[in-house]
This record gives sequence, structure tokens and C-alpha cells, in this order.
Amino acid sequence: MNREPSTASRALRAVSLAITLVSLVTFTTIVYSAYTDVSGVFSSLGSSSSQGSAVHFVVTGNTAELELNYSIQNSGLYPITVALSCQPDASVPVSCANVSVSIPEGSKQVVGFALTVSDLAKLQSQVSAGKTLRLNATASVSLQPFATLSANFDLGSVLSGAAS
Amino acid sequence: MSETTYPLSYRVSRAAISVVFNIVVWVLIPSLLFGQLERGLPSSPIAVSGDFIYTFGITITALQAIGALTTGMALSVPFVSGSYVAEAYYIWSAVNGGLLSFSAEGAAITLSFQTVLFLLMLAPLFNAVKAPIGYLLDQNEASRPAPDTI
Repeated sequence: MNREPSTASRALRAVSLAITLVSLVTFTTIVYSAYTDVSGVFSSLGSSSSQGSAVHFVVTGNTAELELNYSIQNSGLYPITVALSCQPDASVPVSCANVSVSIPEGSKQVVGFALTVSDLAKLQSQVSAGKTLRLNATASVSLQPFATLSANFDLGSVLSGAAS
Repeated sequence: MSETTYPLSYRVSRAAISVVFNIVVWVLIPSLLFGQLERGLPSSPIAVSGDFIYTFGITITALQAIGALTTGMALSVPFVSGSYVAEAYYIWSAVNGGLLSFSAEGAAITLSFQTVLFLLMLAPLFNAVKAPIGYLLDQNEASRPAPDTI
């Protein structure tokens, strides 16, 4: 018949139960944080300038600067890191100020991204000549330290529109 | 080695519960989830087929059921451990090792969640190790003091 389990056996069961509980709690909080963070990021992207989001396009002589400032609220339970970067083709007279901002849980921070056109006339001539502008950009949102969502896309069409 | 004996009715009812539980967890829920995902995302990042779900679901269920039927016997240990190893591998394979890539609206999107995957696999892997150790601790005469020393 059943014998009394040993202390070591009980300890093993306790560790197993603890691992299951910790995993469950962690997984639930990750899902909750991911949901609230995604909602926060998308609502800030869709909000107007009066709520802390702004797009500035300034032309000075033969140079132009595009500034994107978004205020992102982290309502989740874990810190998030938002990063934006771009790698323009060498032939395109554009440079980017890459940004990486860590937002602690429960706080709000502004993420600023600047794109500078060093030679506007050259860019306009490239666009009018029908050249396809390539400007690979990467945006990533990390739910520290659990998951990272990153997207690679081409900002060339946006640049073509701005230049024309 | 003396083995703890459990009544046949206890082992059969435990196996029956195990079959129902495992079919729900490893076949029905994944089928529903992946079906929804395939309908929602045309280029689904998770390439999990029905065959994959059924093969692993049936394997895990069968191993757990045999483990439950042989509860208290040394024979149950490889089946129980094997089922947990199969669970861990199933989780790892289903989400491509925690690295999913897909494209949407002209953007290449990558979702990386190895830490979460490790957490999900930790419990089955620990249980795979716990099964033989627990058996030795509970059942093995060598792990108990000799009667004349008590």
C-alpha cells in the first residue's frame, strides 16, 4: 500500500509546483503587459500633436530635417525598449539619428527620431529621374526581458513623397 | 526493490482522466488556436500542420495513459519521463524555437520570445527529471533506512 513520501520527494513536488505557478504568473503578466503596451504604442501613434506626438519637417537652404516625436505610455508591468534605426543607401543623401529608449513600467517617455537630408537638390533630382530610393528602416519594441517584436520596412517611398 | 501497488480501478480512472486532459490540452486547444491563426494571418508564421498536432497529441496522451496505468511500477518511469520530453519538444517545435517571422503590409516582421519559451518548457523538462528521481525516493528500498536501524 501507499507509504509516506520522503522529505526529498515532497521537496521535489514543491519545486515542481513552484515552477508551474511561477511560469503561469509570469506568462499571464507577460500577456497582460504585451496587450496594454501594444494598445499604448498604437494609441500614441494615432494621437494628435496636442497629446504629445508631433511630426516636423523643416527645410533650411539645401538641407531638410524630418523629426518624429512620439510620446509612449508604458502601462504594462515590465519595462519596454523602443528602438528606431535606418540604413540608407550610400547614393541617397540621407542620414538617420538612430534612437533607442527604455521606458520603465508605469511611465511615459518621448521617442524622437530624426532623418536628415543633407543635399535636397540631389534627392529631388534622383526622384525626378525616377530612381527608386532605398531606405531600410527597423523599428523594434522589446518587452524586457521576455520578447522582442521588430519590423523591417522601406522608408524610400515616404522619402520620395517628401522630396517631390 | 519492492513496488507500491495501487488498485487497478485507481490506475484505470487515472489513465482515463489523463487521456481526456491530454487530448484537450495537446490536440483540441492547439487545433483551435492554430486554425484561428491561419484564418487571421494569410502568411502564418507558424507552420504547424494537423498531422503534427495529432502525432504529438496522440504520442503524449498514449505515454501519459500508459504511465498512469503502470503507476507505482518501475515501468511507469520511462513513459512518464518520455511524455514530458515529448511535451517540451512539441512546445519548442510548434513555435519554431521562439523565433517567428512573417511579412505584412510590405514589412518583414520578426517576433523573438526565447525567454518565454524557456519558461514554458521549464515545467515539462523539470517533470521529466522529477519522475525517475521521485520514483527512486518513494519506492526504492535502498533510499530507506534498514529495519534494524530503526
